[in-house]
Amino acid sequence: MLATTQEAQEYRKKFHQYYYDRIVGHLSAFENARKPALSFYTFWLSLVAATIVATIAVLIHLNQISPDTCWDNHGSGEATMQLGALIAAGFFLLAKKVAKDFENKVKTGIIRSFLSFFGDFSWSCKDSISRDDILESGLVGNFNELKSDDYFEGTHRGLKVVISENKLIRGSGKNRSTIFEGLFIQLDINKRFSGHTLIREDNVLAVFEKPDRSMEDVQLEDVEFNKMFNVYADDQTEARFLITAAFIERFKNLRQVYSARDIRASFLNNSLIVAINCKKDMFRLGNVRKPVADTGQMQELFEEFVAVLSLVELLNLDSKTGL
Amino acid sequence: MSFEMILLIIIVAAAAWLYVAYVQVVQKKNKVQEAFASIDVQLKKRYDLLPNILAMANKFMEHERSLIEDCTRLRTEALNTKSDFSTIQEKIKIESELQSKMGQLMVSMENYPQLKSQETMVQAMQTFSEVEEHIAAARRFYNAAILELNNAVEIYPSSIFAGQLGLSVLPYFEITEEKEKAPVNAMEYFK
Repeated sequence: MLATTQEAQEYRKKFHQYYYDRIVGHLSAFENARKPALSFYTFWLSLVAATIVATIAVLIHLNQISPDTCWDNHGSGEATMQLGALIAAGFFLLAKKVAKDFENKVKTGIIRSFLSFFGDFSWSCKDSISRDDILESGLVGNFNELKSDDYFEGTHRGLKVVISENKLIRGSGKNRSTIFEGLFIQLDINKRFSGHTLIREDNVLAVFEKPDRSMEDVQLEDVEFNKMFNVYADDQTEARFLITAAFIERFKNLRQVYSARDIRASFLNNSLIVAINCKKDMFRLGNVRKPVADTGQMQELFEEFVAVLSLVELLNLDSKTGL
Repeated sequence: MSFEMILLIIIVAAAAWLYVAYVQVVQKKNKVQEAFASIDVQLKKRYDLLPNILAMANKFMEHERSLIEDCTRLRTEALNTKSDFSTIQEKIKIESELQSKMGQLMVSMENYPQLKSQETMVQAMQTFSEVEEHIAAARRFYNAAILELNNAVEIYPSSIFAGQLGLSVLPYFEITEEKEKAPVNAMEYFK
């Protein structure tokens, strides 16, 4: 994810100095906390490896003493494998928890300094864009579980911006499947409108994801855009008021900018929600396996955040006309 | 399967195909009417706004009297023109002229700083820009609907039904000058 807007380039120029002036000073305290966290993390991972080795050893042994019954249904071999997998998974989750706790600790301590570079943004690992907002937007179909990770809220170029990292899961038990993993970016826009306009990528699944009946298919003038996306709206004129020729050009480039698998947008209630399905854990900071002072992590976080904020400039959302 | 049965299936399939073609022509005709009505709604907003702008312009722009008069005349003509298929050509012509004259008026306003600084004028221009964007959007909707209908009118078998419904190829709502295709952003003249 590398934004190339003018604003992104200006941010890059200034952030280097800001990092050394305002952020580096906070890092040493976290480096001290990282060492015990890393020890725990390694310990739990070692137990995962040990469990796997032990399970294999027991399986070999069982195979030697009773080769006929070992691999029967509900035989000792199967039970050993299930038990081994369960214990290893348990240890792995503990290792992940240690890593996540450390990540949240570093984020809580550093993120405020990081975000103040961009203005009045706040961060939370508990909040999320609401389930109702997601469903009402029509960006994804129904889902059973909403998992949230990072959540940012603030103002950029005079517009309210909400960035929510989520994972949406449909079904339960063996039928569980992740239908979305990425970002929901909710932006207030300067245009007044009253209807609902939806932009979805045109792919093989589009046939199964028809929006509700009140929305009509909108065919725009741009053939390339029509091939890439399906547009639905409850007001044909309003859809064209929002999706101008300039917006079409900008939106076509978004997938490339965000390296996204799927990109969608919904205009509703005077705001725009862009869903970027990138199947990547974004905004990571405080990788327990890397020194806290490792600039690579900060650089990645910075680029990801700038790329999201660039959306306002990319789509010209702060302008009253020419959206 | 008997020959009669096969013949019946072919007749039913052909009838269904023709019925679908007929329904599509009617749907496209209705879509054009909807799009035209949508333009009308947006144009009405423009007509409502114009008297205020022209009245304010009249106070300050002494050397542009003829331009203001042209705008007033065209507004009246546009208001008096019926909005249906029979008058589409005429309506489009008047609207193109009106938009062109309004564009000229905006450019002329550059020379009247007193007018540009009027708070009510700034607000009126902001609304005007928004209305112009809505008109541009409605025009795009209309042109998309016209493209679909004209294809139906010209391509067999829908052309048969189009003839029966009294439909012919309809004109696009186009602005004559290339530079005028973009909606007028009046606020640019007020910076």
